[in-house]
Amino acid sequence: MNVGYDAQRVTTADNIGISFRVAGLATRVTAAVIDGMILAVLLTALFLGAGALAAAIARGGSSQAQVNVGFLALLLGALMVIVVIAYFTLFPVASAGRTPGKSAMGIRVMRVDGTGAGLGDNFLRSLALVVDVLGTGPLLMFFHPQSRRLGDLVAGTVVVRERTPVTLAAAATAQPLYLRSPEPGPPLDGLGRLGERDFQALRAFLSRPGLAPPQRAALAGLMAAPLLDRMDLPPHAPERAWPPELLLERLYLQLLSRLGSP
Amino acid sequence: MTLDSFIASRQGGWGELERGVSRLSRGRLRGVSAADVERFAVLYRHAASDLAVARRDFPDQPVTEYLNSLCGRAHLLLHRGSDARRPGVLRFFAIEAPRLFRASAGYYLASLACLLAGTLAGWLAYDLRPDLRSLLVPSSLFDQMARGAPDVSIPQPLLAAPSIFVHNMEVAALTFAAGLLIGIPTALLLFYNGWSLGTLGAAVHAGGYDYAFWSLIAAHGVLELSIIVIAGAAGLRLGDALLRPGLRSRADALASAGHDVLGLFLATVVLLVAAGCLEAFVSPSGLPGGAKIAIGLSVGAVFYGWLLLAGRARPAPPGLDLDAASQPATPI
Repeated sequence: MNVGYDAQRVTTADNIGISFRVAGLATRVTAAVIDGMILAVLLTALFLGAGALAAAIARGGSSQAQVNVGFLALLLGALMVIVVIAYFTLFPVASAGRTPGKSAMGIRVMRVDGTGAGLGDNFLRSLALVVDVLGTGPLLMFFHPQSRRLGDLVAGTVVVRERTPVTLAAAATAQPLYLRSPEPGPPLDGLGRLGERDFQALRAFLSRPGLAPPQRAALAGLMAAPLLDRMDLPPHAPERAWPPELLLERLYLQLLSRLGSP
Repeated sequence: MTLDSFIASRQGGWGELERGVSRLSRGRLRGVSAADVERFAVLYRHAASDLAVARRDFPDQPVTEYLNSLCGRAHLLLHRGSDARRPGVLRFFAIEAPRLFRASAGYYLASLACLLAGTLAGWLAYDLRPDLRSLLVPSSLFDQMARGAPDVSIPQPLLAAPSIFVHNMEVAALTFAAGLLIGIPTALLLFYNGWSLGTLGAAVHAGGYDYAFWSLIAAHGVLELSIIVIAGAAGLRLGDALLRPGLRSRADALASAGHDVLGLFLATVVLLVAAGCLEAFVSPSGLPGGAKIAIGLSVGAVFYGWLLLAGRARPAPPGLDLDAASQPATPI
């Protein structure tokens, strides 16, 4: 199941959805360029070796030697394609969906169902490279919502990003709250009528930076009115006379001490 | 539970899972103790359930994004590709590959038709346009025929064999992969292969060297051309999946067709090694032409006998449907 652009949704065995971020055209082309440079070195070495061999064979000078050199050239031409296919098949199999280029860009191949791609999948992907380099690859990746080329389509794979911008430390750091005083104040009646959602809303309000003081006061007034109604306070309760910002602060602190202990 | 208490109470497990993911990020669970793997799976399930809670309660908090990415990385480590459906090599060649061939028989015939159409067209082109003959057939062939027999230079077989079969594997791979462009380049490649054969055949026929020519290519040609035709059939199957996906999406139909024909392609392409050895060792050898033709025909008979006859289901004993019993249970 796909959800929107640039995401691949996978449902786990426990029926929990995980969405993977799909690698885009630019990232994948960069990875392909890195792989291409490595392949260029490999193929150059192959060429030099074959050239030395051909020179050794041709020293004979007979027509037999010419035929042999011709076959060597045939072998070399075919080996280039085989080396490229083998490179893009064996590296992902050996290192969990990553060629050196993909590894450098922090992306990897997986099946659309979220499992690792096997030997057959990677072979199909690499085989289709023969066609994809002709132009269908970049073109399809540009238009496909999950940036899949023909090789991905025929193998049932997708290339996803591994790196995430969020670390545990960042996720666990509480957003700073803008409080005037850490005092929770006198206990408020009707606190029991408020719940988790109100607490989250109060937290969101108090952590909001960049509000000009008059705006903050006005917003606090808008938020306080329905909360006071829900708390069912008598019309002349002193809390109604508090400045709304102070009321919200105290509500937050008191809810925190009630809900915060797990 | 508030966001802070949620994170505080769970982050120990998340951190442990994250360290495990980083340690195993080469994608191998091999060399890790069974207890560790079990612990890893438990941590993963806890994190996944935390992700579900976080999606519901804190949809826009960074912790949800964090858990999503953590679970994604752990999921990929725990769920590798299903190796269960991959049969052993022996069973694959004895049973699966011939069945795959028979399942794609229609595509095989279409592929063969493309090749034969090319052969016929090449033959006719040579016969009907004498003015173009020098373009259709390399002139060296005429020189060789004038000297007595075509293609008499004998290469070193140990070099020729790998050159030939690696080259043919490339041709087969190209013919197969070209099917991804809705099959058209595959059909053209098959037609071109047939065309080369047709023009050459017509040329040697005109020169009266039929026996010398056909005995030269028969030993390896039957197997080699058959494998190219099968690679073409696999390619046409891909093209057909794109053109007529049926009730599935084109992507789904293509992926399913790709995995279906991959086995057939691999099983036959491996045999190009045998064809290459025949071409390098037998075809240029001094054996009499009749023997070469006999070798070619018997290799062809064994090849098609294998594809057509092997792996046929034996009639099941009455009242005992083993196939149905071994089917995995399907969710309702």
